[in-house]
Amino acid sequence: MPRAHDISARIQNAFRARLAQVAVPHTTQNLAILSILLQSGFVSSLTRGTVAGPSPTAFDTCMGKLESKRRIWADLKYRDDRPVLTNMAAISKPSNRIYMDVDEIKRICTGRRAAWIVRPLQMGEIAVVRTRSKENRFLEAREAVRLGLGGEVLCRAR
Amino acid sequence: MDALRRSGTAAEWGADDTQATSRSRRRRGQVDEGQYETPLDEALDLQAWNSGDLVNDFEQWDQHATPLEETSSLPSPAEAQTLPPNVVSTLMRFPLISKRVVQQGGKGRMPSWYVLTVAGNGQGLVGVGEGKDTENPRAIEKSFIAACKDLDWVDRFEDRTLWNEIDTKWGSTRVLMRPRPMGFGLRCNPFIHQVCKAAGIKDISAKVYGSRNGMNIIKACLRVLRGGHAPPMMGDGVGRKGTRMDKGYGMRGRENIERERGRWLADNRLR
Repeated sequence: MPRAHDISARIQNAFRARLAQVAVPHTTQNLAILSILLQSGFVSSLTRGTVAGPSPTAFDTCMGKLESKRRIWADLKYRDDRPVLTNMAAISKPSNRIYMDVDEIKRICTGRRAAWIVRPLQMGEIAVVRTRSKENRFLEAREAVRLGLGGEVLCRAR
Repeated sequence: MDALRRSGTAAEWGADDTQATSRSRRRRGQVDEGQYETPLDEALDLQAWNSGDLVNDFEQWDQHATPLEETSSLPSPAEAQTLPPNVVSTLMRFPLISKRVVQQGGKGRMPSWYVLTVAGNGQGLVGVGEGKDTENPRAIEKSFIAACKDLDWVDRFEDRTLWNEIDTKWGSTRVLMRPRPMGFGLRCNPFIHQVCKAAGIKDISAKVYGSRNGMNIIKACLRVLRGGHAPPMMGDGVGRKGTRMDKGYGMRGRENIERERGRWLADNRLR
């Protein structure tokens, strides 16, 4: 179910609190969003684990037990005492779902507004798009433009 | 030269009226060792001396070569020579706000002048300074010296505009600035116009929401234009508290972002 509020709040608050690592619930969507953040350079590594801590073995032994105990741990990045990620927010909300085709995603990538309320992406800002394609389900906005795919714009990060 | 130093503004500020000296003079024993407060003052004085621009053939400060404003803006080597004279004379200075303020004391009203000056070199350095004095010209000079001490670097895209949209708030003053293409010009509030002109920003559009108080607009712009390099919220690192002007992260350019993420940023221009 597409809802990016939880992961956006967890990551943004963890960066602002200067934490070394942050744990998010283990779901396909969270894994995909964190992978895109990893590719963009906001976090330095991802590890599967449990509530207790990052540990792939503990993650495996958890199988068959409660799924709610499993987590993905991300190592956060700081440079010169400043967090690399300062803002992360959801774009598509349950009260107002935002679906964009390729032209609209291209607009926000090139400094213009789209879908009335979605502000353009600033320098260094990324957006995560959930498409209907089987091979490329979750894409960064510019990758979606390059592949010609549109979809629901979940969240933005800078 | 002696008459100027004795009777001009510099003298009123307590400037020393001895002539600038050189090592040769020290070797000749014509100056005592304790004249300079710090080695930096001595080095700056020597640099100005060695530049040869302001001395005449008799190894004295040339009265006619030194403009009046320059001597009056550098009252004494130890106190106000934050920059060499040949740099100071090239800076833009805009005394944007000049107010007559009054302190009501037991003996009655004590009026004085408050001046806020923005200084910049038009190539990325800009600073703001405030000065107060009972006389307006001296307040202007004091604020310019404070602005010179406050100079800091502004990272610009193509040396002409901002990297991204800026939305900042200082008290009730909200300033919104946007980068614009080449040749667009500075279409903004007059205070923002002068700050950008001093900083070397040539193309922006801006809007001020809420209070349009000039002092707050200028301080809001300067807080966010200069990205800074010190860790935030740590003061000056040697005991002083953090100031309001140090809040936030400011504007940082592409190279900074690429370094902190360890990735190249893609070029998104339409082709």
